[in-house]
Amino acid sequence: MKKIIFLIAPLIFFQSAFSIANAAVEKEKKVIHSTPPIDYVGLKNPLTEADPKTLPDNDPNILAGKKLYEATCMACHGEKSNGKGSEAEGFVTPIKPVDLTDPEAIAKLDQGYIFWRINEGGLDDPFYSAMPAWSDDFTETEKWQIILYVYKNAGVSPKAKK
Amino acid sequence: MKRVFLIIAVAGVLANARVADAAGLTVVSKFVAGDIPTTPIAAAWNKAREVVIPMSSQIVAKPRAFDLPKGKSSARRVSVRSINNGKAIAFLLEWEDVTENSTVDNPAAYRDAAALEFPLKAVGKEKTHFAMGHEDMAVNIWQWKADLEDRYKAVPIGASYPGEGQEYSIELYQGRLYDLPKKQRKGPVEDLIAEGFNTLTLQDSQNVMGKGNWSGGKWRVVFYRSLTTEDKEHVAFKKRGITPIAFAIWDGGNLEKDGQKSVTTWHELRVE
Repeated sequence: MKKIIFLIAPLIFFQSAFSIANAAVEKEKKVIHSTPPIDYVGLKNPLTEADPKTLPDNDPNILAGKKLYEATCMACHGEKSNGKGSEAEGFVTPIKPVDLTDPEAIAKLDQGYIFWRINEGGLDDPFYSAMPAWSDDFTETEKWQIILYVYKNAGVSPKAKK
Repeated sequence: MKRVFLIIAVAGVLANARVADAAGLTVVSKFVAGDIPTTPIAAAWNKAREVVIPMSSQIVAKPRAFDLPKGKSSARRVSVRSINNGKAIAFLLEWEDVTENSTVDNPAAYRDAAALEFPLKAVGKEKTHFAMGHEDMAVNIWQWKADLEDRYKAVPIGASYPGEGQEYSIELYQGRLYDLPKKQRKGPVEDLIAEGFNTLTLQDSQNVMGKGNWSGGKWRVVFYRSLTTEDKEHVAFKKRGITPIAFAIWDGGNLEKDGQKSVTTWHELRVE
């Protein structure tokens, strides 16, 4: 029996150490967000100053944003904004479709940052992701409506202004 | 009895180990002595480990797969195996496709096709985009086309479909002379290069060979080439080397062509 313990103990130790190290790396990865170009810094949503999370389901901007989200974003980011859409599985590297409900994701960012990501997508450094650049597909108003819905559907608020 | 407990305990620990993460999957090119397999049905393929890679619709650039009849591309996964003998390398791709689309003789017909993609500067797989590469970060693409299988000499080179010219090329993009007559196909696989969307161009030398077979609702397609070539615009594979690799599949039955296809992001090829 002692032999068995001697054999299993190192395995359990390394497995635990590996899991802890992995979790630490994952956590570290999550909090790194790129700096947007200066044109996007401090952009405010012109449709409302309210926290999108608190807007009612029947708010016209929320309804419009929902329709656009479901037609385009939902395929990857999912109906519940958890990054598990029907098209998400093949987009693995270097980053998966973002889980928008993650407290380390859009909840740590302001709406101007999301406007940047929607506008320019992930084609360039440092993203190289599957996120399309939607700059020509939506009007400015539509992009802000999508942003409002994204926060509301994910159940998180934008980063509070300092 | 103690052995049984030991096996159960070790299996329990290992069951919790991560087998894959956001770094993608690894295709191991199995080393074999002797000839590499050049047909999809060769028994040698059983020596190579199968890796099943999930696929998604191409949505990065227009035309996106959202506009297809199904609202998405068809192929959801591709099975990949690779074998090398130190001199040449072969890949076997297998995927489900309920219809064989092997002709493009009329304007309503679209072909089935498949492609492998490799970055030419493998300084890090994050450094070039999985979808056709970037300016100064070219990708080498090997594209098998079902309609070229038996009649590759008869199809005009440079045309994606009959009646279509070469609308774009990396050479036009770079301001270079584009000299189609110098390029000759040697089989159903085209050796291409791209530096982003709308830059896909036939390579001057065509060195990739292949063979496809459709039966029972499944395509099995082999690609093969020497491990290295003298052309710097061809991917070079090193023994015990690691190269990023990505895949694309077109389902002609779903009217998929050009950018409307199933894709993967970068995975890893390790050559034994």
